[in-house]
Amino acid sequence: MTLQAIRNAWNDFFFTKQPVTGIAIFRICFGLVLILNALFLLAGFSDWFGSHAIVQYSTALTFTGTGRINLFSILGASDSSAYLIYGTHLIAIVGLTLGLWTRSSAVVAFITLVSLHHRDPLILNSGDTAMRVILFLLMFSRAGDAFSLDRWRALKAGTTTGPPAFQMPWAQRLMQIQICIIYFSTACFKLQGEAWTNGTAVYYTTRLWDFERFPVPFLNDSLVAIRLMTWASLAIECALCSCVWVKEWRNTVLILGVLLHLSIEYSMNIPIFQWVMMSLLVAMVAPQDMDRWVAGLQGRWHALPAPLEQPVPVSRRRKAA
Amino acid sequence: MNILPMKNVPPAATNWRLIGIKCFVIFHIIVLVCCGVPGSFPLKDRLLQVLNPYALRVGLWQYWNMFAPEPFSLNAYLEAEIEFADGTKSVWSFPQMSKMGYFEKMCSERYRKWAVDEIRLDEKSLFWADTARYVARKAQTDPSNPPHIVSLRRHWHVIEDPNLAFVPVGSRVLASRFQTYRFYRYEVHAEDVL
Repeated sequence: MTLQAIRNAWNDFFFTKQPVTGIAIFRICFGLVLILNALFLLAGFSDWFGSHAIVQYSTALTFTGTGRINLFSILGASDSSAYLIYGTHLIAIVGLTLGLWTRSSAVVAFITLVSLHHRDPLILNSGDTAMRVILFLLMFSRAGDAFSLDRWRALKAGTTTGPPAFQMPWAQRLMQIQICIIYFSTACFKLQGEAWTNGTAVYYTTRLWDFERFPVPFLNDSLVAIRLMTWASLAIECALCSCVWVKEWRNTVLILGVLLHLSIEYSMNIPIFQWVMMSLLVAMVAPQDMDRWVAGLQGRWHALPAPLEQPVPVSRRRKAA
Repeated sequence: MNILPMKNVPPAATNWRLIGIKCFVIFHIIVLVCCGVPGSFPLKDRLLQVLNPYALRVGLWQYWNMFAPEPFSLNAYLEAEIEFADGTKSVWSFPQMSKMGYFEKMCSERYRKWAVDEIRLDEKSLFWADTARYVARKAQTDPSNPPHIVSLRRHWHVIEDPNLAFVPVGSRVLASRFQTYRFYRYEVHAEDVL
């Protein structure tokens, strides 16, 4: 391998233009999860963000330090500023999901989300962290170039024609790297733990009363099944940060990842997190694959609204090029 | 591979823009890897010293130790004992997921996170006074008899190694088998319950 070959591979990976269908579909899935998250935040809103919140603003500042992105430091930690920030966040994530002023919506959604996170860092879980970091990267993507009101308006105004142009996928690549870091990191942590290596971790997690959701009686009462589930989840997490990069295995690994998250969603009460992770897996699908599937779906069922999007099958694009 | 030219952008500007994007990409790969990858090694630690201020300010800080390295092996809950001005006492229970229905549990998960994962721990003692004040506000029903002392107590029961004692899923442990420890005592001031 030469330096030139590495440089070419780097440029090809980050900067060779790709279809935007995948990142647009990811934007919609991720946006829906953000909306769900925002609605859940309403439960206990004043306890977390209000002027009489559990954690006083001064305590939160002592914990986080000053100088962070935090609109509360400008607007003050009052009820009205909390509702203003939350309301703005809600409007921005709805805009992001619909693809209305997509980039501006993403920027506003990110700033308001980070502000809420910095207001009360005690209530954050890994899903919040994933949403925050991915939303940061989404700001730089061309997620509004397809399946969006922005595109519909541009088509209507005549400022664009034909299918969406291919774009450099570097922002989506950064998201994919971040997603792999999540799985790599959690797998590394787990491999250091005795319960994960001896196969009893799922036993402990299913005996935590606070996390109970729907029952899984037979599997969770057999130590052999518990061991298999522990090791299988660990193996899938390892695959999601490694085998997912092998083209032939990618979609299988992603399906296994979705099944893992769905099974956790069924059995454990960890709201939002599994849906965040499943939406992130959409960003891992190869842009060409997503483009092909969408074109295939459109061809088969004509299910997608024509004014919003008219993707041209990859084969036809190649001919045209 | 299909490479389409950028519209309406002169080549020189495109080059500068590309260089800027490349710098941004390289910088953020380093930030994401240093902030996200576990473990401590000299190069990472040195880079983190430089990058941490940026990551913290922007919101790129991250931890991925969910149920790891060991999953939680205890069931725990918090209670607060409130002593009122007239000497009477009452107990205020922090929200407990195990006593909630499906939907309520979903909406209230952040209360579990706050109480069981954070306030219970000695490392989070910074937040104990705020918590006690919150409990005092919640417990205040009669202005002529305000809360005087709030004590925070944690209760926990350790889940034993399944090879030693296998407990069927859904089984409940008697309350008497829970251990209890009062970890904080707060004297309530008049302005705390306003």
